[in-house]
Amino acid sequence: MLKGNLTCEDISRLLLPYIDDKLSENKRNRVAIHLRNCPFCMEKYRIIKSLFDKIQQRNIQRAKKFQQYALLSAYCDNEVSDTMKDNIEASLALSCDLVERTHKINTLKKLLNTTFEKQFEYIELNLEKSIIKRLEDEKLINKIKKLFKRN
Amino acid sequence: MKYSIKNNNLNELIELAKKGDMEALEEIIKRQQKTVFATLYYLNAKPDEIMDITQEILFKVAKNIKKLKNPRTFKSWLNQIIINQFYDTLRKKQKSVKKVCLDNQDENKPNFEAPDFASNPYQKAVDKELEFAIKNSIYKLPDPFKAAIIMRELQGLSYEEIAQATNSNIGTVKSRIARARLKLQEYLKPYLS
Repeated sequence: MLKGNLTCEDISRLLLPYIDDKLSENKRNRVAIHLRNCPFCMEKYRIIKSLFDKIQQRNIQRAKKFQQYALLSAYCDNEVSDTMKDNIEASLALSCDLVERTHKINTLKKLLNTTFEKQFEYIELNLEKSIIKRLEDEKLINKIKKLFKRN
Repeated sequence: MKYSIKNNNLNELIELAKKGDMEALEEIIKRQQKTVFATLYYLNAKPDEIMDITQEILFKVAKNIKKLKNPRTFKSWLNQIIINQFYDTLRKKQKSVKKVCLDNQDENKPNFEAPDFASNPYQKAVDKELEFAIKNSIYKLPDPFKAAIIMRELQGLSYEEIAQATNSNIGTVKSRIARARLKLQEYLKPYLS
């Protein structure tokens, strides 16, 4: 428990949880008071805070970009609602970047589809007869077992 | 014109098989065996085990088709069986010790032979290097992404069907497919330009 005024050393420990908003109200207020009165700690706070903000901003941008990609990917699979489809097509008309990204997804789809098709085109599997035979054999065995149990 | 079961669509065949029509069941297996085989191939099952697992899956389908309530959910149901059987085999293999079969079997004549990729004529047509790159890129994907992209691109399942097969929701499927595509775009960059 910290008593009295906070020292610069206390602030060093509390700065990260303060930026992360993980302190109790009381502690948060005391850190704020110290920062207002100590230019050295305030400068330290500003530097760390701006770094945190940059990282957060980058994460938000990355998440937004992925959301956009996921939407385009679903659009290429024809798995979006009609309204969303209209919106995406309107955006595509305005952005070369989006058109290029959609084109890349479709190229990948085409590459996978044609390779999968060719890969298994000439493979002959004739398992159906043996599966049915095995099923009938198992049914027969079960019938015999039941008969024995009854007797 | 003579009636042929081959003209029926999958839903009709399933309905018939549920009623005990063995010819319909045989036709279903005939149509689905390549899909099962190909899915296992890209899930990275060992070449010498693919045929055994394929048979096991098809047998489960044949045995349990009567329990399938809605024929429209067949593809999801089939994929659930594929995934469960594939991971079951992996788990069992980790636990089991090699067993020797004492039955009097002709060892030179196995019931089924795994297709020999090298001896088929299609090999000439397919760009081997590209196929190898695609296979390895899919192997590298984390399991849920791998299953989702295989079901989508290899089997053409809808997002809803994939969600049912993997017991997840459509949003998750959308995100998994997108993640898989991003990774594949990165791995296959030289082939996509």
